Amino acid sequence: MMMVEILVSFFLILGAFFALAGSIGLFRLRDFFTRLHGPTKATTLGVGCLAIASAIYFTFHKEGISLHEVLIPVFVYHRAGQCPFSRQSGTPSTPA
Amino acid sequence: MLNIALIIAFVFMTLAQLLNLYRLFKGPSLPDRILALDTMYINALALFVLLGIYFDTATYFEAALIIAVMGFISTVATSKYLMRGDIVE
Repeated sequence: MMMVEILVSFFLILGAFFALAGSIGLFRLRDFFTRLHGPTKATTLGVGCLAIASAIYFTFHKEGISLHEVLIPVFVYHRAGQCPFSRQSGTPSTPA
Repeated sequence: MLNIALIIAFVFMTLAQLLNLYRLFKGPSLPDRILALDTMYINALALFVLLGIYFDTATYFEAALIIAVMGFISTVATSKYLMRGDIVE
């Protein structure tokens, strides 16, 4: 049981760290395209890690294997759908 | 140990939400605001997953799933509105 707690804690902190990193990227970067780059990578990884943590926790604390957390990344990994969204907002600014 | 990790994760996610909120209000252009709103949806979903672990109940999972679906639909709708000026043709 100790091993499970360590594993769940590891994935929780990793996921929250990635989500925070993505939001710091959204907060600090200069250009729209660089801002788009930050959350797209980091939040998907963050939510993925949190879903893994939740699946491990509920597998060992309730009876039976808990795999319904897989459904969350199915709906979150939609970042390919942001292609038209990024295409819309003009040409990327190139450094002079 | 799990409690400490949960508290750290809550603090991180709350900070991330505040940074997103800043970008949502400040964002110079409309795509910036849409991107900030979409990131807020995903972080709220992560907060619901954390709450589910904290209270040891599987009920919060369904709320997180609904937020995931609604966030996806609303981001696609707003992006399409931005692109064409119309949502349903």
